[in-house]
Amino acid sequence: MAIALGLALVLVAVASDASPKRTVVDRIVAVVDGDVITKSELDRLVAPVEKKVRADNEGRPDDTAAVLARVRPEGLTSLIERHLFLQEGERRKIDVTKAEIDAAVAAVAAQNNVTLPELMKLVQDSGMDVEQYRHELRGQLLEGRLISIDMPTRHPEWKVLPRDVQVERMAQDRTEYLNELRAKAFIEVRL
Amino acid sequence: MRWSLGAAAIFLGACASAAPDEITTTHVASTSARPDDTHPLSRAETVTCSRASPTNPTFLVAVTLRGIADKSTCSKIASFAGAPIDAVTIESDIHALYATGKVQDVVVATEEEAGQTTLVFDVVQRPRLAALTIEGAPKGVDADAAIGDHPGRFDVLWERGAEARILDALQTEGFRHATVGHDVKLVPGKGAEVRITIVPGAILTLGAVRFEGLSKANDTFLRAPLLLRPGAPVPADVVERDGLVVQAGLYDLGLVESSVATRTEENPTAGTVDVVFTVTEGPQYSLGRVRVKGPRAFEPARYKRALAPLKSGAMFVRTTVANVVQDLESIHREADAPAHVDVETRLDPKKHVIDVDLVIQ
Repeated sequence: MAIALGLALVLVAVASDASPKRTVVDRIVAVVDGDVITKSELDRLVAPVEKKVRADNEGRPDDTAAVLARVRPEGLTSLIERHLFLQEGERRKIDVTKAEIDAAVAAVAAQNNVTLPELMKLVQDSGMDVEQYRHELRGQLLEGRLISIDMPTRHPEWKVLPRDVQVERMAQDRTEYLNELRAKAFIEVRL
Repeated sequence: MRWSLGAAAIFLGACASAAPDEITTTHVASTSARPDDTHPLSRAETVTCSRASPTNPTFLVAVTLRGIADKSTCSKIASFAGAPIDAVTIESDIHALYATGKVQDVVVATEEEAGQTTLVFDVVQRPRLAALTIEGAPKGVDADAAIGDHPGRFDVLWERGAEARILDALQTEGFRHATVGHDVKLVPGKGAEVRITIVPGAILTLGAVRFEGLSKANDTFLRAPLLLRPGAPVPADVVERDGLVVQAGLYDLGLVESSVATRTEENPTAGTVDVVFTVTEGPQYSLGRVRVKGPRAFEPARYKRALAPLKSGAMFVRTTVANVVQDLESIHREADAPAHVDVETRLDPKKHVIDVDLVIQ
């Protein structure tokens, strides 16, 4: 019996040595009502943030590690919210046109006092590609549209509210809207 | 609820095996015949989708699917041996595999051995739907028909949709407080056994439709197009639809600032439910100036005739405006000058007048 056990251990050791080196390249990190979010989608979102965190905390490894530990879960939460709004847009047949995204890109460039090529360079330097940036803007525009479209119904006094109060109400409504969408959706997180 | 816990446990298992981005591991082949029916992470079955002998050592020598026996699944993935690893293709392959409906989880890894790289799609299949039973369906409600076709494999989203459809069917028949629950049992060697349990509760039918807050609008006018009928069931979607119809009716009475709040009042002893529309009317608007803009295809008199129903000073009726738009588009079509007519309105909240521009495009 002792011999048999010894032989089994040797076999296990041999098997381990001979096993291939395995590297996970991609996988499902979440599913939102049947929409898959992959690790690579999350990587694309958080890469610029991680890069900035490392640059901002250079020489302070503990601070870097503490902030980085939050980046991926928060990034995934943000992606889940983005998918919830995209699905809601499809349900309500509300979308954002290419021209509207172009206008938003131009507005961002103007706000930052840079030309469009300079903005694209800044985007790429942050670790994002142009298509990804436009996709990100599309999501933000759609989200804003979905929240603001019902504002006059939800708040009859909407048109006469001061701008800062409107912004505050929109933030509150975004939270409520997301809570409603989350309650209706089936979300699996596998981070 | 039991399934949620079960699914969570399965996903924890999947994460535990795959969470580190770089691990070295040895897979122990399962002895079970159908891994998808026994342990969800079983990897007994492997299909090689493509194999090559590339001269470039960084290129893939094989692409394999592990955890699935059906070779036809290979047609869903675009990654192939003899090519370099392509992250975009792999991501799209994950989406394609999930979209088959057979797969609930995918982990993609490279495995390097003796200088050769294999791309492995580790797949967790959904359990087979071994049995589906429905208990408690009341007479007159065909729960099987409400569910419709079911997939060969258990899918939480399908199950939730099935419950919602049964609930709709129950509410359509007047079971306003019906509940639908489910229980999922994973049976080794068989798959998922799903039991859907219905608690229908009492039937409630419509007692009356009531209006509150009307002074300018006519109750009979608003009531005529409603689908809600006394003695019939009161489905939530019909209540919502009729609320919108009431709102549209108010717009057709010039009450363009009006709003409608809908509530239901139940009387369990009588087995009835009343639907109450509370209306805030606001001011009644009349029609101000009406103009036609844009390129014309006819002499002014023809347009004047078309605009005749829109008399300045008359009550603003949205339907009348819509009919005039249709007439204008129709006469343009007949004259081989098709046009789209947009309506632009300007409200004067002090005078309670609406100016209308019909813009020919």
